[in-house]
Amino acid sequence: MKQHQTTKPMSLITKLRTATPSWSILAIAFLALSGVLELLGDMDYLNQYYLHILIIVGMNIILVASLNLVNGYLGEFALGHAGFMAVGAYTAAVIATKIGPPGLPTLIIALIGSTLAAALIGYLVGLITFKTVGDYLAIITLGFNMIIVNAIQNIDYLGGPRGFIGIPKATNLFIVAICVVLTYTVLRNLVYSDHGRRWISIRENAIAAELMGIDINRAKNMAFTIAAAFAGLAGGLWAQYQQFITPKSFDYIKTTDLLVMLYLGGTGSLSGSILGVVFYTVLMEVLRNVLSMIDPRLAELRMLISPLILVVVMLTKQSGLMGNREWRWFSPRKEENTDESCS
Amino acid sequence: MRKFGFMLLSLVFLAFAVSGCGPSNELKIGVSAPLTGDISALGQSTKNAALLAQEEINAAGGIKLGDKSYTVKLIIEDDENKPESTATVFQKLINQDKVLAIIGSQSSKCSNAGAPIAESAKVAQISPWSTNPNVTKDRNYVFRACFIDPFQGKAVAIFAKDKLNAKTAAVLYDVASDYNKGIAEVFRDEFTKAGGQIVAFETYMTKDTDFSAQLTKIKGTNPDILFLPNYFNEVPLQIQQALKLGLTAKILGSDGWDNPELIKMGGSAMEGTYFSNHYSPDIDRSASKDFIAKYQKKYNIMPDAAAALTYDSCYLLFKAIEKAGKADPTAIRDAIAATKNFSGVTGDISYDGSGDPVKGAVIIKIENGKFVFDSAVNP
Amino acid sequence: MEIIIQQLLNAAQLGAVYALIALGYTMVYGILRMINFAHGDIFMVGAFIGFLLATTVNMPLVLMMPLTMLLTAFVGIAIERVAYRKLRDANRMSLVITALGVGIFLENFVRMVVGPQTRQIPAQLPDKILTFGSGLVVTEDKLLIILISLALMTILWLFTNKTLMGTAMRAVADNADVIPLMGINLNRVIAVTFAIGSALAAAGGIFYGQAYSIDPYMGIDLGWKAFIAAVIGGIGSIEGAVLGSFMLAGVEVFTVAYLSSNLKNGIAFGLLILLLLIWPSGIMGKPMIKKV
Repeated sequence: MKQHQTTKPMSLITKLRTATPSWSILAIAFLALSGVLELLGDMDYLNQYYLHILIIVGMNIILVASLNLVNGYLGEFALGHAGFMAVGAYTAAVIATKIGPPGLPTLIIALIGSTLAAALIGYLVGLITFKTVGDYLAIITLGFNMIIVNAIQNIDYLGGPRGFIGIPKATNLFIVAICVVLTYTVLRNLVYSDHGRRWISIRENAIAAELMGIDINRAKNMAFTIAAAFAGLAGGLWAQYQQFITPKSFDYIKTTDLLVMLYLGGTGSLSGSILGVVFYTVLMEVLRNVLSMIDPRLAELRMLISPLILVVVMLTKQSGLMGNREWRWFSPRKEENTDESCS
Repeated sequence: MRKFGFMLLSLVFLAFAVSGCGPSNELKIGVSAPLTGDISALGQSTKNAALLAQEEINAAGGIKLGDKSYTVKLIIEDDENKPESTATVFQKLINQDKVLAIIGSQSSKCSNAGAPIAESAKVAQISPWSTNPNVTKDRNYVFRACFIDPFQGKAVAIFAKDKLNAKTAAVLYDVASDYNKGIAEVFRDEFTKAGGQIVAFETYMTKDTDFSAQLTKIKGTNPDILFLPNYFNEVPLQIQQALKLGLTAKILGSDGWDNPELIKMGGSAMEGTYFSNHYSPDIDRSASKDFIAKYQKKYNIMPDAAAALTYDSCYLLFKAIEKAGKADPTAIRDAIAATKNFSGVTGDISYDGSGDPVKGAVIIKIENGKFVFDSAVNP
Repeated sequence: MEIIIQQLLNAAQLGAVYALIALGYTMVYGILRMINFAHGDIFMVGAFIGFLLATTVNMPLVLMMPLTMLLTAFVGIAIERVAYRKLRDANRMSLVITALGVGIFLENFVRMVVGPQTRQIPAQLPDKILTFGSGLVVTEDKLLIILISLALMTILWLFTNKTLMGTAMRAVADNADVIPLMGINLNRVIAVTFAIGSALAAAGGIFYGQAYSIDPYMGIDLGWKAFIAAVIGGIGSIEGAVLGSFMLAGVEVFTVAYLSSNLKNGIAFGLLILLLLIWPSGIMGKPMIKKV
């Protein structure tokens, strides 16, 4: 990265790197690529398994990036993200099965519904957590997650512990890609706006931020609500992709997975969220394939090897894979000279 | 960082490029089992039984299709007992490994997550142990080797009412688990319908180990029987704690009890209890006896219900492949659906139109630390 | 009335086990400001060491318990040395993720080595059933578990408040940066903290394995419960962790007994959230004062 700049300052690679493409070009290219992949998958030129992994990666990116808003930029330690996802998933499931015929309009209504429902719950949780900080906030969010899961387990209309079955399949790679782009456009604009500055200042020093005239409660609640909304969106996609959801899929084990991907990638970095998700998901699938290639009996070793790799990575890259840095594409143009961003 | 990324990338390509190939005289069958996670003991049984079946069939010359013999190759994957991991496992088995059929998964929630994928890829799925009715509902490619919850719940309720002459019953079950809740509710309805009275209907959450609060409450209602439709790793605790609180009701359970660990853990507390099961180890049936002897010889433990049902699912599939006469998933599906009077370890299995077998249950009594056949219940 | 006393005893037994785990959380937190998510799994490792000692060499409880506590203490020290020390000055959350990784590794390691089955540590405590009054039934082991746990907690309290090492630990908790200036070996204080926390968790594991059952994944849920208990009591405070544990157990047991067992988690967590809204820093916790 830096080596290139010092040794060959005007090489072609450096030029390409410095020429930051605009956000919209990047987004369109990304959408086009996923559209092509989806088509290839539909025509059976591309293995459905790879398509499946890409879809999972996409949904996890939305989840982790939105969690990053609260845990990374705002600097809190929220443990209830899976709960918001559950709200979104069940809202989408109800809308998709009970309201319209399967199709694009129903999908859009379901996704909007799940986003709004999760945002509402996120807003309420945000209101309640005002007084607490740090690990106390962690417990309150965790508590809400457990309450949501426990409530769903007791609602027979939603299938209770048996889960919600028979949701029509409406999500595909292209839809997920649209949602990823949407999420990242919103998050990127927020993070580099006044709101983002407020969140970072609260993270760095809440009292100083308050003295500067920042309404901490309002800023916090905004972060909470937006993060919950995107978690709900991902939940809605998830429900309509997997076609079957159970309350237990949304307990703290899910939150833990998200936390691992978030901190692995590096907090406070939008590109870190992508890298963390891709690294972790690909690692797990590579291990699965390598082990089953060697001997079918080794499948259970996967869960023994992956945590070791996780620990080693965390020991060598202490602030996650990206640290606080950002890919150039993700930071607005005007900051090119001032930001320490690279690669 | 970059070097690391490059290494990872090359590993990815290597892994995906190499897997998926294999010699042409192999028939690949996928197995999705919870090898890690909260029910990994069951995943272990699944793996053991499947490997035993594979070893046997290959030692006997494999499966003959036309005039060529093929060896069976099982690809066993870990679904962690999570629906989302099961979906990934099914995608990999079907699209990457191109298996002919899938055995699994064990818990109903995982089978339900895998089923839509098997269904749309037109690959048959046989779940050994998922007793939730909605797993096979409206699905053409999904089968199971076991009976379903409503049948079992009714069998126990009738047994309690008629054979044990119980008038009042208490139930303690795991409200967060679909299996336990399903049977508990059927039992409640059937027992009431038969003229009995449910005096306590108490719940707990998966992984709870202290049931004294609920049992104290149940003791206050003084029931004739206590029904515990829960898993073998929780039941001994529940019974021990019930006895320590001085509860005297007769205790009944369901097929989740069937595991050698039940008696190992529960010891004398288990004496005189009853549970419904897929088969009875002491029954005079050559297939059952053979299987138990072979399994014990190879792994040095008694097989549990999950092992027996997995073994049955494997042979059901082997027979179907043989009958289909070609390595074609749709033909294999049709052959499975046409299965009549397949004589397995856990009883005779026939399918008539749906993916649920027509199959009976047995009631087992625990006497002197052994599972003893008590009575049979037929559909 | 008997039923209420009975339920109180049920809660006390559960609370005692929670407390033995929660103490480890709270001590490590006090010193490193770190949530050691592997602690629940150290508790599990302790239980399995006890199980192996009790079943393979038939060791009696009086010997098995101290030996298990010692061995588990070494496990705790080793984890700190290998996985945490290098990250001590890094982002606090990197430590949390490393701890999660260590926890998953321990779970799967024990599953591979000992097997996935659920086990019980052979009961060695006397378990005669005592009957009081008209219907109050108490087993001796229940009373013993509560008493031994309380004794261990008292010893811990004396240790942190009356000994030199304990004073050093409290000093580190107050301000870790100046500790080396005072001539105190920071690494040693931290190692001792991990050792004590792990040993207590092992004691909890042994009791748990006798009263209930053990499996390689049991540490996940119990670890979370104990973490919650430690936070409710005021994380970093030893008295708070004990109080929080008994309160959590009490809320759980009485929710099941008098409200609804279906909604146990919902009601229990609703009450806990309410508590935290009244005491935003936990019951015994010091209010967080941030320096500008």
